[in-house]
Amino acid sequence: MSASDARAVFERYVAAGNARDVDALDDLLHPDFQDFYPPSGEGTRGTENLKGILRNYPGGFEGGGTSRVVGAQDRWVATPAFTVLRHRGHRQPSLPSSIRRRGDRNGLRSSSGRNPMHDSRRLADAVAEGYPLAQRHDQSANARRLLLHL
Amino acid sequence: MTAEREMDEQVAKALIAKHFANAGKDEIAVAEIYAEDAVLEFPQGRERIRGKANILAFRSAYPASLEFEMRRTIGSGNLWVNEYVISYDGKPSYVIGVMEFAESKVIRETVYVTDAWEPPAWRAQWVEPMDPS
Repeated sequence: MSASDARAVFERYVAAGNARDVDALDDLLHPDFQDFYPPSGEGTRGTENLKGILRNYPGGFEGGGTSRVVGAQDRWVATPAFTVLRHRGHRQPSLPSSIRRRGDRNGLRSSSGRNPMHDSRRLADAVAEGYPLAQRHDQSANARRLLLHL
Repeated sequence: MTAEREMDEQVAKALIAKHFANAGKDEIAVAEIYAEDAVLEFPQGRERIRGKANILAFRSAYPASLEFEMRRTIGSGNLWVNEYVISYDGKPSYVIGVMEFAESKVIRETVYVTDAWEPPAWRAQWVEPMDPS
């Protein structure tokens, strides 16, 4: 698989999720695809189980993006997707991140997280006084970029 | 565009293993993996830390005890992804860190942190307990 093909598959994967086009996953995922959610200790095996989750996801989701896609060689497509996802019923927007390992053609394994926006005080502001360390950066600037490092 | 020289897999894994072996213990050794002009980003806090010196100062001043548990390091070439758990004063958070290398140094690291969540009951029929390794 070429690098451009890998990126195209990932972008179609995100588009299928946004469109709730679950059947499109048949062309995008290996039948033995695995999806893991480390923060909850959950894992799914096979495209049918993933499709079951997506078909029944309460409230759905919107806004997943491919604003920044990074990968290396033809084994990987990795993304922190900087576009904010808003899950209905959740007060906080989340930043999705996922890592996909590539098989012969389709993704074989994915690790995903839904990471709430955190109060920056937790990571840096508590120590920023006296240290010119942390700068705010414009997330929309990232959202405008589409980078592929291959 | 000039082609970046790709890192040898064993070299990359060794650098990353050393980095995390020292995490929370020896921040000077931890910082060795970064290029002088490296950028460390926390998109959730919309924070960017520029330069190895600031990264070292930030980590050296961290106001909590940290314990690291590595889950996976995966990648190839100049792109490597680390999955790990950091316990902040004993409270675990799940972390994904994306390292981008040039000339065998990290030039950019993007880190996402999230708390654990309880598995929702509605999707239990499609889910199994995962092996974290």
